Amino acid sequence: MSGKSRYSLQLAVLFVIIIFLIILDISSGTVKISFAEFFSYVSGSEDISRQHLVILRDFRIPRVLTAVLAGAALSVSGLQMQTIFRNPLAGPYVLGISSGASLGAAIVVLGTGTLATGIIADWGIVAAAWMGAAVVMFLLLLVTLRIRNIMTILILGIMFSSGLSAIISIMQYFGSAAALKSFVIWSMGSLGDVTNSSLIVMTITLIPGLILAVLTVKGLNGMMLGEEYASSVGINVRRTRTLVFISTSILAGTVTAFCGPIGFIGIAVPHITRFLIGKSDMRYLFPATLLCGIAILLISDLISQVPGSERILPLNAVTSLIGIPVVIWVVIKGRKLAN
Amino acid sequence: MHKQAEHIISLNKLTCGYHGSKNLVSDVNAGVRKGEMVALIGKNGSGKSTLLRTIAALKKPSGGTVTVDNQVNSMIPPYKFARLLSFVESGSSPIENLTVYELVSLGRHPYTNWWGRIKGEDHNKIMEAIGFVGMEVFRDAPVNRLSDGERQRVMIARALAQETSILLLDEPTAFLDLPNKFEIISVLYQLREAGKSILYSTHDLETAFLFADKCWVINDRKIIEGGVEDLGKQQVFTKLFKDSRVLFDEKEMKFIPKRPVKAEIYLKVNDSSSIQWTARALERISYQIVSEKKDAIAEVIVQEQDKETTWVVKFKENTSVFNSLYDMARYLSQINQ
Repeated sequence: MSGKSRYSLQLAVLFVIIIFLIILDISSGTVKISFAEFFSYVSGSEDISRQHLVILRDFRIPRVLTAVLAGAALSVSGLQMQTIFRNPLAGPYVLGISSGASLGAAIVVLGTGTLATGIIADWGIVAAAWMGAAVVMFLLLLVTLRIRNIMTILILGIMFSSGLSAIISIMQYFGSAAALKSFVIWSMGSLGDVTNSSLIVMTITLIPGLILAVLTVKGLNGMMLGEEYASSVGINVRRTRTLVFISTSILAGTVTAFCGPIGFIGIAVPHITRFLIGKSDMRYLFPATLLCGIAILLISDLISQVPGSERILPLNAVTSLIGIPVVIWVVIKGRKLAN
Repeated sequence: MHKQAEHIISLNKLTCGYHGSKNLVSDVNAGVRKGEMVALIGKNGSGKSTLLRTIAALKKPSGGTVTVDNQVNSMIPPYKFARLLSFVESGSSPIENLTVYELVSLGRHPYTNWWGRIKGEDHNKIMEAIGFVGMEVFRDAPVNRLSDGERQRVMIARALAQETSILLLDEPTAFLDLPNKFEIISVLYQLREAGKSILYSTHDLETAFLFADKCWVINDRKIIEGGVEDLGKQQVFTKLFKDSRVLFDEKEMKFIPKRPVKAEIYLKVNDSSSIQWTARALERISYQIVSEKKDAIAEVIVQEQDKETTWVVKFKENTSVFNSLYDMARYLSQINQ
C-alpha cells in the first residue's frame, strides 16, 4: 500500500473510532442512556423520556462536544509549540497560558471570595481565566517583537509560568477553605461544566484559533529544520511565530477558561500521533494529531465517568494517568523500533 | 579588476560580525561569477559562516552591501530570493520519521501553495534532485538513519529542489571521511558544470585546490580572492597558516606538519619501489634525509630479494635487519631518544 493511501486509511479509521467514542461517551454516565434513545433524539422521534432528553440536550451532548473541541484545540496547540520550539517537551501551556488563565480564575474565586454558583459566577471565572490567558499572550507577543532567539522565549515563558504559579500559591495560602476547594476543583479540569450557551461562545472563539493554526502548517513545516532554513526557503519566520503564538493562546486559553487546565493532551498526543502514522511532515501530522487529540480526550472522559459507578474522577488526573504509560510505552517502543 | 556586472554575488565594502564584538570581516570586496565554484577558506572563527549567512540575507551587514544578481540582497522579497539562492547550513538535526523525499520536498516551499501542496511538477523536481545526488534508492528512508555523507547529499538535494542558480554551502564536507568528501565536492562540481554558481566554506584545502575555480581567503578581517594557483604563488596559504603547527608545501599544494628534526639519516637510493615509503616513514619519525653519509647518524639500505623487501640499518657498529617499515621505525625512534 502506498504511503498516501495508508495515511488516508489511518485517518478514516481514526474518524470511525471518534464516531464510536462519541456515541459511547454520550450514553455513558450515572444515568444510562441507550444507543436507541440517543438515535431517537438525533432523529427527532419521541421515543425518549423527558428526563433523558434533558440529560442528553443539556449535559451529555455539550460535554461530548466540549471534549471534541478541547481535544482538537489542545493537541493542535501542543503540536505547534513542539514544532516551533523544536522541543519534544513543549506543550500548549509552556508559555504560561495556563498559569495566566489560572491566575484569572484564582483572582475571581480566591481574591473576591466568590462562592456563589450560577451563571454570573461561572461566566466570571471563564471571563477572568480568558483575560488571564490573553494578558499572558499579549506580554508574550511584546517579548517576541524584541527577542529573536526562540530558546530565550521558551525560557522566559517557563519562568513567567512559574512566577504566576507562585502568585497563585500565595493566593491559595490566604484563601478561605471553601474558596480554596472551589479553586482546586476548577484546576482539576472538567468537561461537564460547559453549558449549551457557553459551548457556543467556546466554539466561536476556537474556530479562528484553529483557522490560524491551519494557516501556519506550511511555515511550521519549513521550521522543522530550524528558523534559518525556513528563512532560506522564503518563509517569514517572525510572522509564522506570531501567528502560532496567537493561535495557541486562543486555543489553549479558551479551553482552559471553560474547562480548567487539562494536562497531558497537548504534550503527549503529538508524540502518539507521530508514532501511529510514522510521519513528521506537518501536512500529514496536523490533521492526524487533531483527530487523535479528540479520540484521546473522549477516552479520558469515558474513563473519568468510571463506568458502572456514580463517581466522576477529575479529568486532569485521568488524562495524566492514562497518558503517562502511553507516552512511556511510545518513547521506549519507538526507540527500540528506531534502533 | 572587478567588473561588478559580471558577478552574480558581489561584496561591496562589506563589514559583518556580531553586535558588540569585533567585526569578523571589514570593508571587503569580492565576487563570484556565474557558473563559478568558489571555496571560502579561513581559520576557525575567522567569520566564514557569518559571511555566508550575511550573503544569504539571514543576517544584516554592519556596513556595505551584498548584491545578488545585481540587487542588494536585503531588498529582494524573501520568496523571490528563495528562488534565486539556496543555503545549506553546516550540520543538521534531522527530524525523526522524516523521509528523504519529505525532506527534499521542503525545498519546494517557494513554489507551493499555502498548504505546501506538492503537485506533479514539484514531484518531478524533487525526484530530479534526489537522482542528481544519487539517492534514489533511499527515497523513502528516514533521514535520521542515513550516514553523514548520505545525509549531506540529501541536504544538497533539498537545495537543488529549490531550483536556484546560486548555492551557498557552509562546510558541506565537515565530519565526512575522505571518499565522502570527494563525492560531495564532485556533486558540487557537476552542479557547476550544469551552470550553477557555488560558494562553499571549507577547511578541506586539498579538495578545494582540486575543484574550485577560485578561493576567497579570509585573513585578518580581509578577503584575498584569486585562482588557487595564483594564491599559492603569492604565498597566501603559507601566510595564512604561518602561526600554526602546519607548513604549506607550495610545490605539492598540500600541508605538512611542522616537526623539529631529531637527526639526519642517510637513505641509500636504489631502484626499489619501497624507497618512497621508506622516506615517508623516516620523515614521520622526524628524521631528515641527507645525501652525505658523513653527516648522518645512521644509514638505511633497502634490499629486495625474491620479492621480499628488507631494511638494513647501520648505526654505529651495529647492523640490524628488519622485515617491515614499522619495525625499522620503532628501532630508529628508540636509538635517537
